Amino acid sequence: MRRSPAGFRPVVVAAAAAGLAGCDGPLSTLDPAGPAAATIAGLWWAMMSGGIVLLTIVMALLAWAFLRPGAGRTTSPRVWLAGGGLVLPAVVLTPLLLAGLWAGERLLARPGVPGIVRVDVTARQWQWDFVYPDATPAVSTNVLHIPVGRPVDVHVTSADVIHSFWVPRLAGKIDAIPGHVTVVRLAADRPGVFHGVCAEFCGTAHAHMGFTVEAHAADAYEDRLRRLGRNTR
Amino acid sequence: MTQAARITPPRALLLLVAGFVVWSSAFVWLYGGLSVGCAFGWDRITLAGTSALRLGLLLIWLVHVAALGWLLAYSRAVRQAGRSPPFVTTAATALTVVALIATVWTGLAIPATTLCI
Ligand SMILES: [Cu+2]
Repeated sequence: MRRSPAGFRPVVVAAAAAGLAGCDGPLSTLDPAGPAAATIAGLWWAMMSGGIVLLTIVMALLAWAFLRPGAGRTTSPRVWLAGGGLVLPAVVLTPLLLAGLWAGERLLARPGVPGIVRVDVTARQWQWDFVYPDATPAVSTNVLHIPVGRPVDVHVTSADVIHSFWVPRLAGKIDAIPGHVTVVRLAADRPGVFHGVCAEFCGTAHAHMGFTVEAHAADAYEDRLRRLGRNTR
Repeated sequence: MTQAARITPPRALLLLVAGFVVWSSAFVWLYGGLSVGCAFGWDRITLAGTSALRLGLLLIWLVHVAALGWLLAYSRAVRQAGRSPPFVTTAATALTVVALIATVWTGLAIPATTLCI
């Protein structure tokens, strides 16, 4: 019986487990909890599928070359170069480009959508301050409250260096740039607590610059903002 | 004796990179033009049935495509004149074709996608 080198199997299992562990957990983009994150996850799966298609074709050709040496010799080098270097990537990458453009259009925070909630965010070393203009003077730090099922436009800026606002299960990243306001639209399609991080290195405590997003049902959300407002006063 | 006739004019070497220099110029002008145009609100000015910004970007694109068309004709003429090594002029022509395709490809999104919000 042939044996694989000692320790090979545990290493493979450990590597696979470490890789797959990234697919789950509070910061997983593959476990979306809202429409924007779902669009991004869909694009990720489309890219993954395209990558698998390309890898499969290339590996099949490689196996063919190994198992039937010389079988491809009847085809001219020109056909191999144009087919493998231009046609194959174009056929796979063009649909992926279109999917990317389509996803990008869907993620834009277009005005005029009914029921938009606005939140103003200021990032600073090393915390997140949230202001709720619809419910002044409500403010909160490192916990963002949003209503379930409504589009939330997060207006992001920074008080010092560049940070990046990222709640992987709800939306994509947006940079927090001093002197600028950038906007990302997110939405949660269920109540719950979602984790966010700073996604741009911003100093020694960057790795600890996390925050949470609490998505509440409509009544609970109004109630929460009223309480926040009272605390501020 | 034919050595003198085969000396590479520096121009032929420049032709190797010229196509992609034009492509990168198109890229930078489109990228910068979009950002500057959005900052100044040129997307809100209507011109010839579309926004002034989209029209401007299309113009930038067309100028670069036209420049590459001219460059392609020029590098083919240099190749046919046969005063430079055939490898250099053939490679220059091929690279210009690739740069032309890349530039056309880059600009195809201009009419279709959202400029500013
Ligand atoms: Cu930060």
